[in-house]
Amino acid sequence: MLGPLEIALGFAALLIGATGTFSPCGLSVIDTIGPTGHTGGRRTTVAACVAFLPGAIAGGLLTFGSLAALGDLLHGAGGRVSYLVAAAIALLAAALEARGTRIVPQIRRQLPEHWRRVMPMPVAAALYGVLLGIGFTTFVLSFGVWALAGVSLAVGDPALGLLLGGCFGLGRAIPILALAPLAGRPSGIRATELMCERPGVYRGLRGGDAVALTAAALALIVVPGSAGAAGTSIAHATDPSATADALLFQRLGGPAVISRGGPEVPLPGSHPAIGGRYVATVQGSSVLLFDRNTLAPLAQIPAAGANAIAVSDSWLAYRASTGGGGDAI
Amino acid sequence: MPEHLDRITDSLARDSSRRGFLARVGGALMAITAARTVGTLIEPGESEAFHFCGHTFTTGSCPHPTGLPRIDSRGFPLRASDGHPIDDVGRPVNDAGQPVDGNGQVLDGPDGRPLPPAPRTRICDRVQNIYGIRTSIDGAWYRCCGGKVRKLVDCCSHHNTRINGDAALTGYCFGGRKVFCVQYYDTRVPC
Repeated sequence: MLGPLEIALGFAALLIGATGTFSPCGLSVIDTIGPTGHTGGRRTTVAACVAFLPGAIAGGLLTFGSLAALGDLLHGAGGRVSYLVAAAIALLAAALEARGTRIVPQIRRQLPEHWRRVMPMPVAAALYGVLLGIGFTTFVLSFGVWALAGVSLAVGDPALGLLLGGCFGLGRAIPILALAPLAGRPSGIRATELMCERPGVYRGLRGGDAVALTAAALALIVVPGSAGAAGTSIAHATDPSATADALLFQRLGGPAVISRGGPEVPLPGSHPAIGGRYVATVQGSSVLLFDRNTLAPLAQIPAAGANAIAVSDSWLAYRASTGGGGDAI
Repeated sequence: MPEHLDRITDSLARDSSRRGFLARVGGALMAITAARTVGTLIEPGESEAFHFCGHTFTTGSCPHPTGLPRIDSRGFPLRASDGHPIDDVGRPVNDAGQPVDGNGQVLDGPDGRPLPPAPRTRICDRVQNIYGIRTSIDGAWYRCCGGKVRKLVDCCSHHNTRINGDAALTGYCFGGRKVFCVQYYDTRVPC
């Protein structure tokens, strides 16, 4: 389930992706896959739109997922400093967007026009989608694109990177899928005029990017710091384990739970721990390992008598009682 | 062990091994190679122009009342210098098609009555009248010109000779048509 942080960043990515429609590349794709851009008529337009969507999402996943994985590799996922750096990046981008500052650095590249002539239109559309979804291969129309890259790298959480990439790709695709079928029609021409002749529309979208980035920055500051807690203590709980963005504990007389800003999610087993990319619990004479972000089960490791655990990317430690009355690690 | 210490020790362990270092260098090289590969696929967005910015081929401009073939989103002529709508004889006109002066006031004739409007024809349609060929607008492409996004629009025909008098090119045209002449639509989107 998505928490406030994921929702805020996902929405920002969606809006920032949509702002990219104002680029030469976005406008070109609307005309190209629309009914006036080829001889295939409406059927080809529908096929091209269907192909463009997964291409754009794949491009987004590739860029922001890779950056997050790189961040994870360089400094590990999460960490208070990482979240504060990410928040600073988002705030800086928000300020620049609010001022309507000219995009620098700009990538002065355009899609390969000849693809639409040498490939079937749906194939060309899918590849155009990938390039637009990647975000950094063609013109950048919002500082938000740079900010999303910085946030992905700073937080270093691959799942969050994939979420940002998916939302960014979806944001790039939605306006194109909505406008391409209208190309050449009176409503399509009016939409083009609105986008291209009224600077306020683009400025308004950049203002929206600024607001969304500010909200994301606040979420990056507040949510991980509290792990969603309403106060400084939680009643009827024991055996805590925490990172900057998550709090795990054992409910007295209840299940182990994880809280990441949203509702508490019960976990199978007891003695919960979090570290690296894993969440771990003890169930019977085994330790269960889960993916930290999705909570998908990953492994079950025999650990007879385990009554306390700690986990990281490369270590699993547990304490078990020995027969002689002591403990062993 | 606290989470951050745990990370630091893991990180130190990774940093201190030769395999970890080589893995990082390998990853960085792969990323650079991938980026360069993508870079070779895509085209410059702000291209060298022939007779107006963004036009990357040599085909001449479509006949236009004031020279440079600037059009609006529907293909009607605009004055290139300021984007003001003009009629077929190059006079600035208002929304009703009446010729106007620099202040937007309707021009009067010697008899004190407003001058009659002249026709205002889409540039690509006007080519049909002038050259006696059938034309259509097929594909278009957007480029960055002088800090604003510009749409390059080809006026296409089945004619094998272009307005220059030599062999026509395919350009953005399709369906067997080729570029007879070119025109452009300036947006107000910065780039």
